[in-house]
Amino acid sequence: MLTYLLRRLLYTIPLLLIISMVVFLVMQMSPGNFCTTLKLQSEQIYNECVERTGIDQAIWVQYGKWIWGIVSSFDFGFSFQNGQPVLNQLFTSGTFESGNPLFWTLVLSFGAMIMSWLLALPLGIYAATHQGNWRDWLVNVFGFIGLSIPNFFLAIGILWALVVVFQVGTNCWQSEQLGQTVCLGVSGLFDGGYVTAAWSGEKVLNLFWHLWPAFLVIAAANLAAIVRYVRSEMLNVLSEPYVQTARSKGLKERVVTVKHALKNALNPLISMLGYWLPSMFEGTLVAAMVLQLPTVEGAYWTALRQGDQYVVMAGLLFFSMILIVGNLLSDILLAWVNPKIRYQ
Amino acid sequence: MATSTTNVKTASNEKTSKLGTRSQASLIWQRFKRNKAGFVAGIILAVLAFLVIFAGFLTPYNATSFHADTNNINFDYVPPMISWIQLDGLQPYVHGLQRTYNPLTGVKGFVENIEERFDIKFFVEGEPYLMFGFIPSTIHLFGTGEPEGSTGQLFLLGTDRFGRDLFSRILYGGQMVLGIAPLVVIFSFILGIFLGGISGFYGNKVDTFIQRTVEIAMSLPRLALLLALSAMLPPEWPATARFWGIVFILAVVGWAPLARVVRGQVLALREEEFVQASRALGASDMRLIFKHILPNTFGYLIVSATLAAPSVILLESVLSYFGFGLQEPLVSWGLLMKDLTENFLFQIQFHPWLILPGFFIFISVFTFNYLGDALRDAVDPFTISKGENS
Amino acid sequence: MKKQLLTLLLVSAVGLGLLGGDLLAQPGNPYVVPAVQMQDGFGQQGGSVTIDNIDNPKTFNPITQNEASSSAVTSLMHEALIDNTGQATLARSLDIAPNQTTVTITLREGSSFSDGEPMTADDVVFTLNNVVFNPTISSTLKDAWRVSGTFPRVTALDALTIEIAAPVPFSGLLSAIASTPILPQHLLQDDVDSGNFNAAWGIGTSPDEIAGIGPFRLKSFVAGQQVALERNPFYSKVDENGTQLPYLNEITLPVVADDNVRLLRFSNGQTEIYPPRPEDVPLLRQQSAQGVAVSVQEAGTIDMNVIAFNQDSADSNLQTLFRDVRFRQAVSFATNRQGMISANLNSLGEARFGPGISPLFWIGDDANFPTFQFNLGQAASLLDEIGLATGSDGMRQFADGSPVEFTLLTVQGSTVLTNDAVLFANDLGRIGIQVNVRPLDLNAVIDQLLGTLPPQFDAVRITINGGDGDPNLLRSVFESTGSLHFWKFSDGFGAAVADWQNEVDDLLEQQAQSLDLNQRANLLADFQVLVAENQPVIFLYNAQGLQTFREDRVGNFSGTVENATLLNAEILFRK
Repeated sequence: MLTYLLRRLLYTIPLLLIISMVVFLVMQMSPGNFCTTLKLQSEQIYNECVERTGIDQAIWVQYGKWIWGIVSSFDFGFSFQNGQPVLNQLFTSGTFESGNPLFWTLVLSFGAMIMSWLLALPLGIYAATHQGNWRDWLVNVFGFIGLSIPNFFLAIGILWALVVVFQVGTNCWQSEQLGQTVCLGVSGLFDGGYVTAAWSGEKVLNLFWHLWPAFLVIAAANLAAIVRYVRSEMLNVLSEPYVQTARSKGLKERVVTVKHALKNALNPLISMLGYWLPSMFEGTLVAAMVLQLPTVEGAYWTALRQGDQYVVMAGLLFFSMILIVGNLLSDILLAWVNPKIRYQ
Repeated sequence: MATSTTNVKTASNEKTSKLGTRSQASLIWQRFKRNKAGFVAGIILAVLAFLVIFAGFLTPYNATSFHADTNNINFDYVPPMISWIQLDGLQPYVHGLQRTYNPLTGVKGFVENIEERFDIKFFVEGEPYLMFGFIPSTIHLFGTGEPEGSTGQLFLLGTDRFGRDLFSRILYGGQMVLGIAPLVVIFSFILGIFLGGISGFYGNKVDTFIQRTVEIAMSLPRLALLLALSAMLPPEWPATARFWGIVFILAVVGWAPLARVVRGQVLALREEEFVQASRALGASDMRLIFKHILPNTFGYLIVSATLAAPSVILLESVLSYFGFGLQEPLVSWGLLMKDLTENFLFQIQFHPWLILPGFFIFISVFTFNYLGDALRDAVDPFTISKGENS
Repeated sequence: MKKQLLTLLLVSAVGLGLLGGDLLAQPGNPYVVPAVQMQDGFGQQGGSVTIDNIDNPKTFNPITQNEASSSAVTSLMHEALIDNTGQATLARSLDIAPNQTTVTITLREGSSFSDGEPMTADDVVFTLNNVVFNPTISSTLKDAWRVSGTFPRVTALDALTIEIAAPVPFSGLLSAIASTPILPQHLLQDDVDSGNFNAAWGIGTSPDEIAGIGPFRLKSFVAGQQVALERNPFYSKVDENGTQLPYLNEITLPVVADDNVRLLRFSNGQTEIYPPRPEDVPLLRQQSAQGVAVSVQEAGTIDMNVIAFNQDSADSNLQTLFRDVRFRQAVSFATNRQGMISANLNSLGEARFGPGISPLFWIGDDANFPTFQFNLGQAASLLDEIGLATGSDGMRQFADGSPVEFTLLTVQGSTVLTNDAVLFANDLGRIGIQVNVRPLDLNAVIDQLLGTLPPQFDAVRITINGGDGDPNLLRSVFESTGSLHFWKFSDGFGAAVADWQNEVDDLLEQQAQSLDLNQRANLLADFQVLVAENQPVIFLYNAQGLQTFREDRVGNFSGTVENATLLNAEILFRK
């Protein structure tokens, strides 16, 4: 097991290298470069930009310098947009009060995951215990609706409903912490002056108000899958002999379902964790863009649109690494849980 | 995404025997028919496909023609006229179009002009089109038969900002969307089956190499890579070439998970007796892979195909939302949605019929999922799948 | 006894005077903003205003910044010595010498930067000589200051007086002064000396290292979330009541990239000011019952929406055709400008037939100005005159039988440009010309226009940024040797230059050297007529400047430019 682990980990390095090369090549082949739009302003400004970013050098020179920077001093380069170090731009910019992109990405991803399971578990159990009748069918439909709506549409639709239909902006209160009136808003992470204020209960509540649409948008796409998974697991377990035994012992129905079946259903959840984060990339990206959330995906996306190549490459390495590590984790957990499956 | 399944082998997985038992295919069909929801989904999709294939005939207009009145002012944002259709005995008719103007908001609109009446005729002469792309015709199923510029038009689902008929655009757009999805699936399947099959069959170095390539392909965030790649399409290419370019890119980005699934299947089947038997009889490797093993995976492949299609359809709409999908003058559902999402608040309030293309996206994705689900149950009712398909 | 009391009084008076001066932190001699400029009257100090910015600022450096999201912030922190009309505001006075080449600026006593350090003539000289004129520092400001290939001579006559001497009379001198923010030498000298100015005042800079003479100063910046600005306590302007400006305590600029979300936030009451898109106007009018004012302002004449043909096309048929003025006039007649305005701008716009220019010189509304009202018949007859015969399929052909066909580029992702192109193509199709609309990535379009010589495109639908409309900035577009003369770069090499183009070159040169407003206006009137008659590019329309703000919450709102750049933010007050 250990050698397998080591071998897989060692494989990651050349893997990441190849990925970065592929990405770099793809970016170079796109028309124009980061500075191209400056041509519309003046030749000199364009030239100055090219010199500052070094994009006129040969491809392998730029790539080589970048790799050397990483290897020698863990320097992933700088952002063309504002000169900030890439790692700062992608992960660590911000203060303690405002949080940084890496933090928000984690909050968003895990938050969405938790919300998915919080929603899916009861739904799946409900469907399993009412298997076959219209309630079961309804849960199924509900799940499918979630994954049939394009996520950007869902995001904008939620915001529209909140503002136009529910008029949330009319709910205001006096904030003791800020000393001013605060009203419920949409988009972003906080309302009013909370961005720079110290962490407090008020601030966390306000944060959650801003985050729940994002969680919903990200979770919607996967809800159906998890619900059916929970449902099938429950069905599996409910027909097991030990459940029958528990029933015959006279334990109440609810205790039977919750205690025994749940434990088994939760087991492979951990193995799915590995696939979770990377599969949510698209959802978190769209949520970040529409709902204006300062996450790693958001910073990555802005960089991609402008051709800010070092930020893009570092970002892609990050996401790829998460996916690889995730794959690895899940394969290991899978093998650990089921000794019958062994890979060479 | 890989699917880990616990396979319970039954005799029905064996190749057909012609002695009085049902073939595998017909058994699948039987089970499928029993799943009512899936069956209905299949019917809906078939109807959609029919509508889309015969778009030229079924729609009164073309997808790109602007419709204007005699003063050269477009019939822009006409509301759906389907509710305006009335019956005089057995003869359906509509009233003419009359412009309105709301001085408070400055928004123009249309109402019925009850003084004018236009009968809806069937098999009318209209704009020329190419049936199936090559048979020229001018006969449309229905329409008012009025000439260009007349106020007697039949815009079933309304018009867009240029006075282009939305119903026509939706059906023609469906040709793109429902045309892209199967093509993408086919392309990616060819890649995935080939590589997955070889990978699973030969194992060792070949397997490792291909699997690592799969990992690379899967490690790159699909959307980001797709956007970067579609920006790369050479500007000189005409619209149809860019269409094929997008198809190709979508396929390239999508083959990896499939290769993994196929590999898993092949790995499992490789050691089966019937394979060993064939090998003992001297069958070549290629023959073993493609004639004996892979056909037994067809069930799963069909299921994967129907489950991959909706993700391609959604991806096309997301691409169009970002501005990277199909461009004018082509038309697709994603592009039609862009009209709505760009000025969401304005359109949803004043021109809500622009959401209809989204409804079509929803229906096709929804039914594909149901269909795939039902097929999965039909193909192997004994397997309880633990993984997710993306 | 009396003597002691008197001394005590005297000393306390002096003491109080000194203390009082510090407490008020007011410069001794502030500029008094005329009451006529405040349409809603005087305001009270206090309150804050929120306006959404479309992106993060990329830098806080007002000289090197070149994006709307950055200028929205820097324009509030920095200011020039005079305003757009040439009136000295933060400077005490501006004198133009009779020879029309020298300008003398006198500063106000006691002026300081937002960090409390005094502003003197040295800072002004530093800003111009060491920064703007510095060859290693690139900035759009340079173009505004360049006269006869060189820069004016700037010297400090004493601590409060600066002399700016141009080699020849230069009509753009005042507008150049009005566009140049004064930088603090004490904070930036080191960066200039070490050659690091281009990276100075980046977004990672701490607020106390940035200072300017504008109404606000940086309070905090959280990347991806918002910029917060607070009042500059050393700002040298007061209202006629003596209240120190700015009125507002704080301006917040959250980053919101999505257009729909900005409108939603404004509708939800989260922002006070919002520059609407044309399609937003009906909704805002509906909301006006709640005190939301939608003012649809006079059409600005600056940005030019055009369709340009590549008159240096490699295809000889197309090149001959595009260079024929009758073809361009025919196309102009075939352009349904009202249709475009109706479809894209919700009818909030006006047709244009000539170049965009500052309202001071604009004559586009004159009765005799050349127009090309939509008339397909006239277009068709002009095409017939050129000799483009119509084939049996209704499409026109060149003399050699090949179809008249070309590609029209637009920017992918810009629905306005693409929609215009689609409409245009449809109309040209009706007179027999096949136009293939091709949306491309912006970078690809720029590449085709400016990447190679000669450019590779056939035709393009694009918007030319008119800056603030000063004619001197338009020279790069309309002069033969202009760097943005992209539809016919060959003009710059002297080959086959049309007579009218030579005349345009002369007119633009002359007006640049004249400081007489009337003379300039006449020259520029001729310029506009010439360009309109010959349609080097097909001018389409102008979008009306649209502004929206919460009438119940803010007063003295003067408008925004480029999305979030507030004008006259110092007199804005919170009700």
